[in-house]
Amino acid sequence: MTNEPAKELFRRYYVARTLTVPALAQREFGFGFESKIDYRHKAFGSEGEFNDFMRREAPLYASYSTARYSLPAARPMPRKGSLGTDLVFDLDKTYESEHPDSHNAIACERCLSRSRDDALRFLEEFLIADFGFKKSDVAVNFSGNKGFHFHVRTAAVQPLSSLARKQLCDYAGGFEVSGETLLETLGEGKAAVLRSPQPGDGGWRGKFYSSALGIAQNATQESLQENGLTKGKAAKFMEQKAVVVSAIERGKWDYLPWSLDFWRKIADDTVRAHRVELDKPVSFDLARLIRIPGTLHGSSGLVAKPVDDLAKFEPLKDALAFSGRERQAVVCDHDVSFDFGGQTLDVRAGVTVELPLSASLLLYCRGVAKPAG
Amino acid sequence: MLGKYPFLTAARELARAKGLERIGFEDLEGAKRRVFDAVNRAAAKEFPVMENPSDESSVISYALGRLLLAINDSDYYWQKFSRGEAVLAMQYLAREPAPGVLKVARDFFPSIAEAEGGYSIPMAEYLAYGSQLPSTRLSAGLVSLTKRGLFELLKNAVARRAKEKPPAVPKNDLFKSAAEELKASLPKPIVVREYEGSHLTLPCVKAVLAGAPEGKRYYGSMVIANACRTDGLGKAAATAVMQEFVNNCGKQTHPFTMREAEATLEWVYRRPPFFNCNAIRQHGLAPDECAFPCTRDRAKRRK
Repeated sequence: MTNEPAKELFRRYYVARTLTVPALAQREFGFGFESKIDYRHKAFGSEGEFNDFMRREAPLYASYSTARYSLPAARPMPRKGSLGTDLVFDLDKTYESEHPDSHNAIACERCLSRSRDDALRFLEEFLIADFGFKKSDVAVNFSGNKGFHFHVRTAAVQPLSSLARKQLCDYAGGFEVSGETLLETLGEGKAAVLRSPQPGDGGWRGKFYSSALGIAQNATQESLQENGLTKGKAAKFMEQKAVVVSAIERGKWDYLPWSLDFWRKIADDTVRAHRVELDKPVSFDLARLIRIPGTLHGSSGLVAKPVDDLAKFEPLKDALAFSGRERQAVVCDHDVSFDFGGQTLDVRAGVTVELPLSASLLLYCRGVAKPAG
Repeated sequence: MLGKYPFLTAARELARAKGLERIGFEDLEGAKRRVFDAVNRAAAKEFPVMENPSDESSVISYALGRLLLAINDSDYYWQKFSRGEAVLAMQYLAREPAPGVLKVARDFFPSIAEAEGGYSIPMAEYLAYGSQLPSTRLSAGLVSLTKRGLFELLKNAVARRAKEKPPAVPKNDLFKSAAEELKASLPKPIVVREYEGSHLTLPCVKAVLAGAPEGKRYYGSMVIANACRTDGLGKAAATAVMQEFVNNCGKQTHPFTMREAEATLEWVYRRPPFFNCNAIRQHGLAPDECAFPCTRDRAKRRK
C-alpha cells in the first residue's frame, strides 16, 4: 500500500526543484513505491522528461545505474551495451550494537555521526591516500538513510572489472592484511629475514608503521602489559624504549625479534581499527542501481544530499527536504522522542502535535504517524 | 621478441598480415603442436624450451592455436593452454635482460615505471590483470612491486590474455578437422569427484584434487590432507580422497606415490585440524578464479 502522506510531500519536493543526473540519457533508472526497486529498465531522453516523471509519479525510491549504456532501456541486460561503469562505494553499516541502550530507531544521531566518521576515514585514508583519487574525482552523498555513497566517474575506472572492484573493497576491508603479512618472515632459521614497514611507507604498512611508532613512543609499563606483553618483557621494553623507538624510526625491526608476537598483535589491532566495511555488491555488481543524489529516501524522507564538507555534515540538519519554517500536524501511534533539525521532538501517542515538515515526513516514512485530521 | 612473446599487441599485425586465406596444413600442424605442448607444459615441472623461436611461426601458431581452441570451446583446455603459455613466457622472461622485461610489461601496463626496489604501476592498470591488491604495497594510487612481484603479475596477465576468446572463429572444414584432431590428441579432462565437506568443496581444493604439477605435489597432498582433516573425515575416507589426488597427478617424470601421500596424511592426522587458504595461493596451486580470501577466511578474520 502506498504511503500517501509521504508521497504527497515527495511530490512537493520534486516540483520545487530540478534534478540533474550525469550522462542521464545513458543511464538505466529504477523506481520503487513499496520497495526500493519495483521496476527498472526505464530510460529518459532528457533532463526535462526525467523531472516531469519525478514530479508526476513521486516515487519513494529513485535509483539509477552505475553503468552507462548505449540502450539503457533494452532487455535483457546484455542488450543494453555497456559503455563503462562508475566506481561506486556504499558505506551502509549499522552502529546500534555500539550503543544499544541509547540507540534511537526513529533518528539516531550517534549512528549517523559514527557513519560520517567512517565515511571521512574511507575518503581520506583509502580513496585519496591509498587509491590515489583526487578529492575532486570523488562525489560523496548522504544515502538518505544510514550511510554514505561515493561515486568516482573518471575515465580510468570505467573499464574496471567486477573482480577489480571487489579487490578495492577487500583492500579497504583489510582482508588478507594481518600481523603476519605486515611483519612477514621470509626464509627459515638463520637465513630468515623480516619484511617490515619502513618510514615513508603508504597503504596498510604505513598505517601499521604509524600505530607502532606511536605505541612505542608513548609506551608505559601498564600500556605494554595491556597490549599483551608480560610484566618482565614490558619492563625490558621500557629499559630499552629509546632503542626500540630508534629501531622503528629507521625501519630496523630485526632488532626486535623477542617481541614479534607483540608487534603482530599491534598490527592486527591496527587493521581492525582502520578497516572500513563496505556493502560490496554495490561496488562489484556492474548492473547495480543506486540512489540518485538529490532524491528523497523512502524510509526516512531525508535527502540523498551531495556533500562538500564531509567533516561538518550533519544529516539530521543538512539533509532535510524542507526548511524548518513550515509545519504539519501529525498523530503518532506510539510515543516517540528524537533529535531532529537541531531540536528534540517529543510526541505522545494519540496526541496531535505540529512538527517541522521534514520531521513529519520522517515519521510518515518510518510508518509511525499520519497527518492529524 | 614476438617469437618468445607472441601474445604481445604487436603480434596481431603480423598475424593479420598472414591472412586466413593463406593458412595451410603446416600452419595448422604447428598450431596443434603448440596447444598440445602448452597443455602438457601446464602440468610438467620441466618442459623443453626452444631457444630462438621464429617470430612468424610462433605468432602464427599461437594465433591459430587459439582459434582451434575456440572451435572446440572447452573451458578446461583454455585454462590449461593459458597456464602453459604463461609458464613458457616466464621461462623466457627469466632470461630476458631488464629492458626486454620492461618492454613486455609495458604491453600490459603502459605506465609501468622503474622505481626503488623494483617497479610501480598505476592501480587501475594493475587491476586489469592483478588479483591480489589487498596484499600489495599500494600508496597514492601506485602499486609497488619487486621484480618477483612483477613476474607473478605478468604470469597472471599472460594467462589471462591467452584465455581471451577470439572475436571471430573460422568455420571452414580445414579448421574444423584440425580442431577435431587436436581435441583427440589432448589428455582427457580430469573430472573430480564431488565430495561433501565445506573444505573439500572449495574451488581451490577441487583444483588441487584434479592434480598438481611436479614440484608441487607434496604441497598439494598437504592441502588435500588438511581439507579432509578439517572436514572431519576419518583416515580411511581421507585415504580414498588422497588416492584420487595421486591418480590425477599422473606419472609425469617421477611418479608421486600413494606411500608419499599417506605419509602426509599421517603427519596431518597427528595434529589438530588446520586449513590455510593463503598457503594454497602461495604455492601456486589456486585456480585463476580463486576469489581469495574466500567466504570462510573472511568470516574468520572478522572475529
